[in-house]
Amino acid sequence: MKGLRKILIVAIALLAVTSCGKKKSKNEVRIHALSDTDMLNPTNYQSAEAQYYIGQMFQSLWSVNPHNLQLEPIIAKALPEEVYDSSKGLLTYTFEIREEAKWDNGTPITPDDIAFTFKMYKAPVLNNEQNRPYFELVDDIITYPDNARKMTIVCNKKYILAKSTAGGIFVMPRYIYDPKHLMDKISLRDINTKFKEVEQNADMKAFAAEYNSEKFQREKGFIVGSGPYEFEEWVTGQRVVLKKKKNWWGEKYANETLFMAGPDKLIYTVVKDQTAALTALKGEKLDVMNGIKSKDFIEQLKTSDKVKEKFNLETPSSMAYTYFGMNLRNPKFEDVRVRRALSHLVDVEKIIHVIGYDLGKRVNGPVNPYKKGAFNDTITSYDFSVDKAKKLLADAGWKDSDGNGTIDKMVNGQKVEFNITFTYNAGNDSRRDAALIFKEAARQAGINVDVVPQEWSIYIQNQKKHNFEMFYGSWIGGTTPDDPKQIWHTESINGGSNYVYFGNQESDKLIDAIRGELREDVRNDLYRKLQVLIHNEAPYIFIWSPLERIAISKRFTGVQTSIVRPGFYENEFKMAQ
Amino acid sequence: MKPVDVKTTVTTTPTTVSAKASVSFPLFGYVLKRILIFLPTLFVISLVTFILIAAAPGDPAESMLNRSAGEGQASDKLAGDQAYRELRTKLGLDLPVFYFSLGSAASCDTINRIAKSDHRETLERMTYRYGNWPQISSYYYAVNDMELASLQIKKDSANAVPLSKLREITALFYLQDKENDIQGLLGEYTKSMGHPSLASLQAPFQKVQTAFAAVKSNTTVYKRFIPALHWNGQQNQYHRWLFGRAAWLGTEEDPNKAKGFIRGDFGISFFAKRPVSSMIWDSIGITMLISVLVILLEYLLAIPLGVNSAIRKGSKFDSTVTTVLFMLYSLPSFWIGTLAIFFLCGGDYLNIFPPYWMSDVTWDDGFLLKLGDLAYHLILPLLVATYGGFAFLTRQMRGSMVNVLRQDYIRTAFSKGLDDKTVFWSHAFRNSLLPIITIFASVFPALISGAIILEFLFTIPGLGQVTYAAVLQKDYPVILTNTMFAAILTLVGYLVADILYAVVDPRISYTSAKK
Repeated sequence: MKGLRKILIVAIALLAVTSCGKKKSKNEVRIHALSDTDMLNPTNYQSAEAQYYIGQMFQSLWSVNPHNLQLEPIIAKALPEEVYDSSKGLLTYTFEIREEAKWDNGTPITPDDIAFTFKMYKAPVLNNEQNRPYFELVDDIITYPDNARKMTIVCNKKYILAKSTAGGIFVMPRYIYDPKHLMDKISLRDINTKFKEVEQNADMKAFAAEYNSEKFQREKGFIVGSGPYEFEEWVTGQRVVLKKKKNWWGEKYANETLFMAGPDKLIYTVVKDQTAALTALKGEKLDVMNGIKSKDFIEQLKTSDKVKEKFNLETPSSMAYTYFGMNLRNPKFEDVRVRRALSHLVDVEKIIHVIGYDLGKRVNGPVNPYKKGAFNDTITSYDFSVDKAKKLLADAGWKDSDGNGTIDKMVNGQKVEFNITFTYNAGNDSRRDAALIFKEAARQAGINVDVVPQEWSIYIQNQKKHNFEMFYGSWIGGTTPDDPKQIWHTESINGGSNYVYFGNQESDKLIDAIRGELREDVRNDLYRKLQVLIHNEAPYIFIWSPLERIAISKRFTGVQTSIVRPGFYENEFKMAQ
Repeated sequence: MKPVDVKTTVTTTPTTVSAKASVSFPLFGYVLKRILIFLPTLFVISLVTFILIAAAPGDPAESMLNRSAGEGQASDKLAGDQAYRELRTKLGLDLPVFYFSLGSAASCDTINRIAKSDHRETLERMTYRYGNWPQISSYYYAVNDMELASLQIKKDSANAVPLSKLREITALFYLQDKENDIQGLLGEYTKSMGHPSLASLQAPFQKVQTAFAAVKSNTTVYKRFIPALHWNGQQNQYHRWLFGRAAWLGTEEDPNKAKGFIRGDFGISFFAKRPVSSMIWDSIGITMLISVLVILLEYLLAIPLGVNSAIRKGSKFDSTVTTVLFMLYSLPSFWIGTLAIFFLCGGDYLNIFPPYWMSDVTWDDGFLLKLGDLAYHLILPLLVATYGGFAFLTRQMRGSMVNVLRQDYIRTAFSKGLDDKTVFWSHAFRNSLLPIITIFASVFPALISGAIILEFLFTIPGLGQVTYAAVLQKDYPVILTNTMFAAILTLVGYLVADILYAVVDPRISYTSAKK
C-alpha cells in the first residue's frame, strides 16, 4: 500500500511538472496543422502540408512574394530573361545563380543540381506521378562552359505558367540525393525522348528504389535543401519540427521577404479535432491557428476578452470562391434567361451575413479582386430580385399553366415542371444552409428546389460525369496567373473540370489566347473580356470568397497577413519584447 | 468502446460433471486445430475485403493525381493521362481483381486495362448492348488514336475553332454507347473536318467509322444470356497482393518489386508511399497500450461492482449503481470526450490535462519521466474509452450473477451452512463468468474500431488514425492490412474465449470424449 502511495505522489508531481513546466519564452512558433504531412521528399510528395514544410527547407529559383504577389529571385541572381523563339516554338529562361548560394556542406549550388532536380520531377519509376505532368513543358537545360553559374531552361511551348513552373522547383543537392551518381548518365533529354527505355534502365531502377524509400521521406540527414530551416524531427501524427540553420548563406539578404527567417524553430503541430485545437489555442499551447470555423471564430474567440488579450485575430482575404453550378445541357438550364433568373434568386448578401458571419466578400466572377489588372471591376453582380427573376422566367416560357404553384414549360412535346435537384457534399452544413436560403427564394418564383447531400467521392464523380442539375462547388486559385482552360474551355468538358458544359467559340478563343500571352497588360485585357462573357452567360452563380480566420499569438510582432495560403508568413514573426 | 457482437447464452448441455477441467495436453491439439481453421477463414475475409474495396466508388489513382481538385495549374492533358496510366499500372489497378471473373459470354475480360472509370462504364454498357467485346475494344482503341491525333495537331488561330470542336466531340465518344448518339457524333465530326491543317485526322477518323460499323454488323446480343467464367490467370490484383512479384528463388534484381502479403510484405501505402508495415509499426504501440489498459480497467472495475450489486440486489446500493450505469452507458463517448477537452484542458476553464498528444518526452529522458508523461496524456483518453464498456460489462456481470444466485445449488450451499463469502465467490462467481468471457472475444475488434474516434478526438498517433485516413483516401494496401490484422485479432479473441470457457466451467472440455 505504501509503495502504491509513493508511486501516486511521484506521478502527480510529474503531472504538475509536465503541465506547467513550459514557459513560453523561446523564439519558437507552434503552428496548428489539421493533418499530418505524407512525406518530406521534394518531388514525390502529395499533400499540401508537405509542400508547405518542404518550402521552408528548400528554395526555388524564383518565387512569389506573399505580399505584393510579384515574382522575386531567390537562388537566381535576378529574374530570368524570357525569350520566345517563334520559329522553333521554344520559350527560354536564362539566368545566373547567386554567387553566395551554397549547400550546407559549403559547396555552391550549380546548374547540375538544378538539372538533377528537373530529372527528379520528370523521371520514370519515381513516385512523382502527381507532380510530373506540370513539368511536361520543361524540355531541356543549357549550361555555359564559360560561366559556371549561368544556365538556360528551355520550355517546349509558350505558356503563361512556364515561368512560375520552371522557377518554382525545390532545388535539391545532388550530393545528398544521388551520392552514387546513378543519374549522371541519364540526361533530362533522355527522359523526355526515351521515357520507356529509361524506365527499364538498371541504374534508374536502383536509384528509384533508394529515392522512393523511407529514408528520403522522413530521415534526418536525407532531407536537405538550401533554405533557412533544416529538418529536425518528424513525429508521425504529432508534429514536424524545423530548426533555423546557423551560418546560412541567405542571411545577408535577411531583409528581403523571401529570405526571412525570424523564429528559431517552426513547430507544425497536428491537432485533428477542432475543439481540441481551439482549447489548445486558448491555453496558449498553440501560437497560430488558421482555418478556424467561422462560428467558433465569432462566438468563441472574437467575444472573449481573454483571447483578444493574448491573440491577434486576423481575417485576410483568400483566393477561394464558392459558386452554384448549373448543368447547361439540361433543358431546364439551356436558356440563358433562366440562368440569369436563378442568379437573381440567390440572396448572396443574406448568405454571407447569416451563414458566413459576414466573414466573406461577394464575388462577381472567377478572377480574384486581388489580381488587380486582371480583375474586372465594372461587372455588377446579379441583384437579389424575385420580380426580375419571374419576368425572365416568363420571357423564357416558364409559366404556371396548370395552377399547381410550380412553373412549367413544354419541352420536346412534354410538360416539364421546374424542379431542381441541388446537391452538396454531405456534412458541409453551411452549404446546406445556403442552399436552403436559395430554396426559399426559388419557391417564391414557382421553382421547387430539392436539397440533396452526397458523399464526397460520389459528389465529385457526379460532377465529372455531368450527372447533376445544380450543385454547390468551390475553387481555390493560386498566386500564379490563372489558366482558365481547366474550368472554362470546351476541351475540358471531359477530362477537365468544365462540369457545367460552359463554352463557345468566342470563349475558347479568349482562353487559348490568354494561355499563350506573355505580356501581362494584353493578357489582363483578355481576362477582363472573359469575365464579361462568363457573367453574361451565367453558367455559375458566384457566391462569395470567404475570409481566412486566423489567430496569431501576441508574443510575436512583425505579423503581416497575406492572401496567399495559409494567410500568414511565419518567417516574418519576431519575438515581442 | 462498446462491445458489439455479444452472444449471451452458451449452449452446453451439462451431462457428466467431471471433477477437474483438463486444461493440459489435449487442449494443445484443439488449439492447433482451431489455428488451422483460421487459415481458410482469413482467406475468405481477405477475399471479401478485396472485392468490397474494388467495388467501392472512387478511383485511388485519380484522387492521387488530383490532389486538390482545381488548385493551381491545369496540367497538360496528354501528360496527365500518361501519368495516370502509369500510376494505374504501377499500383496494379489495371489488372482484373481475382483469378477468375463471372459474367456473361458478352462481358469484357480485359476491361480493367481501360484506364478511365467513366470509359469503362460506357464500354460495359456498350458491350451489354452489342455483345461483342472484341469489336468494341478495337473501336475504343480507334477512338483513342483519334484523340491522340487531334491532341498532336498544333493549334493556331486558323484552325483553333474547328480543332476545339473536334476535340470536344472526340471526348464525347467516350461517353456514348447508343447507336444514334454515336452516329450523331460521327456526323458532327465530319462537318468540322474541313480545315486543311486537320488532314491528319482523316485516317484515324476513318478507322473509327469502320470499327463502329464492325460493332454494328457483328452484334451477338444472345451472348449476354450465356453465363461464362473468364480465367484471368496469375495476372490479377489478388494474386499480386498475396504473393507479390519478386522472384521466389535466388535474388530479385529489381528492388522495386513487392514480395506479397504471404512473405510478410504488406505493400506500400498509396498515399504515404512508405511500407505499410512500418506505418503500422509506428502506430500500433500506443493503440495496443490503450487497448490493454482499457480492457484491464473495464474488467477490474466491472467484475467486483457487478457481483456486489447482484449480491445486494434490490438494495439502495444496487439501484444507485444501476441508475448511474445506465446513464453512463447512454452517453456517447465522442460527446463526453469533447466536453472533457473543452472543460479540462486549459481552454476557458480548468487546465489539468493536455488537449492533444503534445508529448516531447522520450524514453531517453528517463524512465520515470516518460512514464509520468504517458500517464499525463493517457488519463483522459482512458477515462473516455473505459466508462461505456465498463457500464455495459457491470450490467452483464450483475445479470449473470443474479441468474446464478437463483440456482438450486446455491440454495444447497447456503443450507449446508457455508458462509456468504464462500458461496458467492467460490460457488456462484465462477459460474457467472461465462457471458463475460463471451464478451471478451469481441472486445479486441471493438477496441480497434473505437480507437478511431478516440484517437481522432485526442490526436493520438495510433492505428485508429492510420485506418481512418486510409479509408478516406482509398489507400487499399493499408485498409487491407488493417482489416486482416483486425480479423486475426478477432479470431484470436474467440480462441482465447473458448479456452477460458474450459478453464472456468468444468463441464466444457475440448478433449475427445472418452467415456
